[in-house]
Amino acid sequence: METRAKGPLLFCAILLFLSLSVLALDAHRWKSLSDREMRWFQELTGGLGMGAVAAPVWSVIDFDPRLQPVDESKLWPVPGSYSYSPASTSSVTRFREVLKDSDPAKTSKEE
Amino acid sequence: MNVPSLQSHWNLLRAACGNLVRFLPRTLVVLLCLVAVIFPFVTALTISEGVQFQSAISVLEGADFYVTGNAAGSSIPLPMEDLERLEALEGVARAVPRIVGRTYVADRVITLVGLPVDATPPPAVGLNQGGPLRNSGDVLVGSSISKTYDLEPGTDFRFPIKPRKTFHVAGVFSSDCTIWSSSVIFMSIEDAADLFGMEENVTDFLVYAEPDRAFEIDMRLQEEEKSRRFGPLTNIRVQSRQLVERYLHRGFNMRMGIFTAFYTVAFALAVPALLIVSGFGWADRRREVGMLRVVGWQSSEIIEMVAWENLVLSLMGACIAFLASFVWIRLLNGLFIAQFFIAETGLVPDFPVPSRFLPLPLFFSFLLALLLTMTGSLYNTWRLATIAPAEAIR
Repeated sequence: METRAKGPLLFCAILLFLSLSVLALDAHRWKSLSDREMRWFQELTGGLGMGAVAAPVWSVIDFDPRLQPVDESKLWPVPGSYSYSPASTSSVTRFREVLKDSDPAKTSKEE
Repeated sequence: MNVPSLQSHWNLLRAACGNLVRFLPRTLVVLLCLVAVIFPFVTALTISEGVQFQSAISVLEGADFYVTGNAAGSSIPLPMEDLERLEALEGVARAVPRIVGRTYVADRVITLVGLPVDATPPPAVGLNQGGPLRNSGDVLVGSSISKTYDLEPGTDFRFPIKPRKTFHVAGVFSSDCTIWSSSVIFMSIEDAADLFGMEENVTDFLVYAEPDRAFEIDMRLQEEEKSRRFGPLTNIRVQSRQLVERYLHRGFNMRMGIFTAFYTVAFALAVPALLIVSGFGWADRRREVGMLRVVGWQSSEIIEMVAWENLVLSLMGACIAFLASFVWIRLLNGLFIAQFFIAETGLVPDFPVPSRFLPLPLFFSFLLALLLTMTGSLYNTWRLATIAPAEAIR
């Protein structure tokens, strides 16, 4: 039993070493990452895009809530047109309308 | 320190590792299940971190205020003449009209952005082909659109919404210009207004404040917003940088909302699946536990040995899933799977999939794996370890 034990322990140690190396490499890469092109593009367009969606399909709010803070495509099926959109086009980000501080409709639940 | 006690734990760990080799098919099946459950979890978190970084740049380099028209709760265009009102506000460094819309190129939805050409930043560091806009009808296209429809610099094309007007590709955005640049077409505001038939209207105004005067402008714009004095008929909606930052923080915190909802289903399915696979080869385990009891092992020692097995398996599963995610996202650029996390990327993404590998997802993955394996085996082991050895062997 004891000789068999070496294999899994060694394998586990290698995997752990590789994972920690990946973390270290990624942290190093992140420090030296150039965002020059990204900044130029955002300056050019005045700020475009916020969610994990490459194009504004279905609902613009998932692409950039600054452009359309309300997802109107979800309101109700439009007669003679398509039905409401999927709940969200992105699986990792989700935007909802943010009510302003001065808005009397703001509730504690929303915050 | 109690050295003999430590030695007994070490011995149990070695016995657990021996078991993993001895019941190799069961070990492999459990490992595969763990990797299948953890892989999307790690991938989603790392991509979310990468997108959040790009999103923060979008907010930072964007305007201090976005002013749009507002009618019955929806954004609507504002007349171009309102530009003068905004520029006249004290503390405003500059106000820029913008048209942002969505339309089709062939069968693909794209974002169309129009701004005054003289407002664009000088050296075109974000173009990897061609140059900036020079003439009417010139456009800059995203890398993905350029690749899909062969829109190289010098190519002429038409939009389906206005087939009579010809546009000329002046340059192509670099694929490093954030994920949103891949499906964007940039042109002068005059061309955009002509294309959408907006005449003297724009979708929004970008207002840039003088240093340290953002608060002052915010107050003035809020007054305008409430008094409805802005424009003859329309109300306005003002979105300050502060508000947009709230979108950013909440949008990325809320990821756990939609993703957890999806993930809860996967998790709920994984627990019974692991319960079943943990019972894979359970007859052998039953006999073994019986024999261990016969030779004098305590119930607690048997349970500890199984816990060690789970710990080693969980560590292996979490690390394999983490490494697989790294290889698939960073080296294969999210081939086939990126579209599940970033919508509208296609099977082969045309831009570098943003991602950031942090220690926390790895740690959470380990905890998740541990929870799953412990749920799947500890109760069964405890039941076997507490019955009479003769019964277990039979």
